[in-house]
Amino acid sequence: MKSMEHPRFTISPFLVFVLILTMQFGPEYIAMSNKPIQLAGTDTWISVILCGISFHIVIWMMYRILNRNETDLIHIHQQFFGKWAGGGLNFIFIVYFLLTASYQIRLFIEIIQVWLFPDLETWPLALALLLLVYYIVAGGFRVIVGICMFSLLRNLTLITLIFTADYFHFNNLSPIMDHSLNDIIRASKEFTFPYLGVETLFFCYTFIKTPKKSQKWAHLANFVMILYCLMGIFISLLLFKSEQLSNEIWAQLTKYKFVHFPFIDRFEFIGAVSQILWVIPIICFCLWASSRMFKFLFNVKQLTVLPILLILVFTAVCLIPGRSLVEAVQIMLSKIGFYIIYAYIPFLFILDIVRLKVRRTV
Amino acid sequence: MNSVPRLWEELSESSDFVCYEHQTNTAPFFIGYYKSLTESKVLHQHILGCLSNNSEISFEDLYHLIPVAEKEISFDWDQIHNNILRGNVAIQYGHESHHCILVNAAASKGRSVTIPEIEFTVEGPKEAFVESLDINLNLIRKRVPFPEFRIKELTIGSISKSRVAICYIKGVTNEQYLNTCIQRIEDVQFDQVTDNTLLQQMIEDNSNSIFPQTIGTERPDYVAWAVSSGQICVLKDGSPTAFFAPVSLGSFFITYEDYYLPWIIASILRLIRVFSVLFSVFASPLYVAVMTYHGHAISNVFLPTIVSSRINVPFPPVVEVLIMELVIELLREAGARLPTKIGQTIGIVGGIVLGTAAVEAALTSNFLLIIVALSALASFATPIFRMSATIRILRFPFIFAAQLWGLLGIFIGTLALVAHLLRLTSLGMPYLVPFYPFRTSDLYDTVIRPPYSKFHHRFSFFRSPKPVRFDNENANAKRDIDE
Repeated sequence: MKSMEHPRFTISPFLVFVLILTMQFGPEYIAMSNKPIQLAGTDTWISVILCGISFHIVIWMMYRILNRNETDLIHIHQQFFGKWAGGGLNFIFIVYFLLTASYQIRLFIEIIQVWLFPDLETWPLALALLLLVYYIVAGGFRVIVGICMFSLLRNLTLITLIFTADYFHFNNLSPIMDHSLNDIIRASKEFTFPYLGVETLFFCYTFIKTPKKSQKWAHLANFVMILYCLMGIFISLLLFKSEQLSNEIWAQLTKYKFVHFPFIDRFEFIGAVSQILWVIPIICFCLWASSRMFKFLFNVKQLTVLPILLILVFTAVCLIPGRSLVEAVQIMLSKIGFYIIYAYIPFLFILDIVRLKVRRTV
Repeated sequence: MNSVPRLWEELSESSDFVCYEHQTNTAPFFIGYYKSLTESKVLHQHILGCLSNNSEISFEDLYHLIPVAEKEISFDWDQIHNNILRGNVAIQYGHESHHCILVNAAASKGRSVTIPEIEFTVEGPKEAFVESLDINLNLIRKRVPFPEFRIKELTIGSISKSRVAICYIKGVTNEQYLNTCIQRIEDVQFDQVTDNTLLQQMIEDNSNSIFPQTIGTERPDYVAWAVSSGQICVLKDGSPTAFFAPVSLGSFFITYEDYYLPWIIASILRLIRVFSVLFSVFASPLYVAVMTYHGHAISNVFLPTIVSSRINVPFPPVVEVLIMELVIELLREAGARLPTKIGQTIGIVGGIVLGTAAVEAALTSNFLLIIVALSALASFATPIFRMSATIRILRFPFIFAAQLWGLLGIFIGTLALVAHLLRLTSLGMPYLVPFYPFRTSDLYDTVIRPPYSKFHHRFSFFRSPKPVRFDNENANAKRDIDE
């Protein structure tokens, strides 16, 4: 079975690199280094690489599943599990994506409330962002990938971290290898949340022009993601003692405090605002994917479902009042993500092989 | 005398319609024409001359004798009617016959070709389009003496009946773009299409966008370049601008003079232009954002300069900026409506006198005055007039966004702008090519104008059936030292 989109809506294979990288490299990276460094200290970089390699394997599995069936996960579900069970699984993914979108918006608004406007209410900003998201998603998949491409400009703010080099303490990097393997693996489990985002591939597969050629780009994206994470970890280690990090919530934003320009004194404002470039592409994709699943589940137009989903996300965002609940949602999402990546995808992979074997013997 | 043939009674209600009866020995000839449309020389010398010299001439003989190339015999009343309205002279033989000789005697009065005033360049040819379609087509055809260069003529407008010419090179222009273009022009439902700019707005993909999706130009050399690149050019009779499509955002920041200058100079000029556009859109919103919300983000070295200049200004920054922007717009608008010499005076009075007085009266700060004047100046660096108008308008939403949420507002505004640009198309071609969808092979001739040896391929998004401009295999051979 082959179900590809019209070439007018597809993207070149190399844009998969841009897409996967933007989806993986979400705003959660600003807090990613705290917990693992508590666990594995100076050996955290090993955890980063371990987790990255496991994601490479997951990407490989995903491509095996997708290439064999030549369609996206929505249809694979229905083929494997029938109409009702498959629909139920799709529904779980809808909830997951909507929850991710709500979490991302709430996190961004929280950053803005903490760093820029302490008095800002949650709902006006959420409304403005969701209107923007509606405009982007209504433009279709190519526009979303275009926004991902534009969001690569955020690398400019990462380059400014060079200016923190004056404050590096290279003593912080030693001693090497003095943590147990258990600690390292527990730390790498913490990294699944920042690495999440490859699951998006399941939903945009039919929108890639020559999907089989895109695999190397997905792997490259994951590889670059490892480099980003390593950079984040090393700069955190070089700038802070691990005791300091336990008090920090968003270590990445604190790093921007070390950046000085002749005419800009407090670069962390720009750093905080530029988080929008990390957030918006992910929200757009989440809403696009969930409205698309709705389209196939209930046979409605994406354009009619989209406003309803946006209102849902809006209410969810307004219902998350403060830090503690944001944290709770994050823990929940990282659990769901962990099981999707390390349990559900391998399960699908095995099921796919079994189905193939069975069909061959029959 | 007034025995007008039945066919022409209706036309005779207009006082500039002349119906002239010429008696011969056999039957009378009736000659009808609009005197406001015809060249009297053709009429008197060629037609009347023929008739008076041969008093016993038959209808067919007369047709062969008239020494004008564009003539025909027609039975179709609609055609006769239309041709008379285009300046033809109709000759009918006897009262009852139903066919006429149509002789083209259209008067071509109009400007002669002059130097371009809007897109003047120091280097390069100095011919500009005029209002006559035939002269304009001649200007293009002279530059494209190529048999595959085709002109397709259409008529649009139920009242204006304007002649529209679509120019393209067969085998270079993509058929799909061409068909879209022709289809859209044919579908135009309007009575009076006075100028090409109307047509431009009518056939654009998204008429609600403030971004133009076709480029209008008055330079025949630019049109020749565009046509040979695989674009489609449209001219209209009575309009001194031609426009071409499909275009991308980048081509609005290109003046044709870039191609006449050495490539390094041209590239630097282009970089300056791109920078000036960004400055023009973002400078005053950033001022509002910094002065309203992020004053403490500015370095201590820089902050006193700004703050001390607006210490006596009683308004919040956004009001100050809006006043100054409106003053500049007013100056521009007033200057544009006046004759050149008075316009200059207004500019000097407005710019210098008003500016200094406004600062002295503490209505605005020096610093803002510089920003606003510079961004107004920068918006004029854009060569295409419609685009520079767009850029002038574009900063106002950003000013309001900056007042609302400071830097965050500007970021949200920028993302909305990018999303809008991503959604735009020109004749179905994405507006942001070659940046999105990204094509490395098309990156030449965007921000940088490389040497001509790099121009060996046409833009892949023009989807030309002949993507190669010239063979460059020999040019690319690398040589070692002393070889």
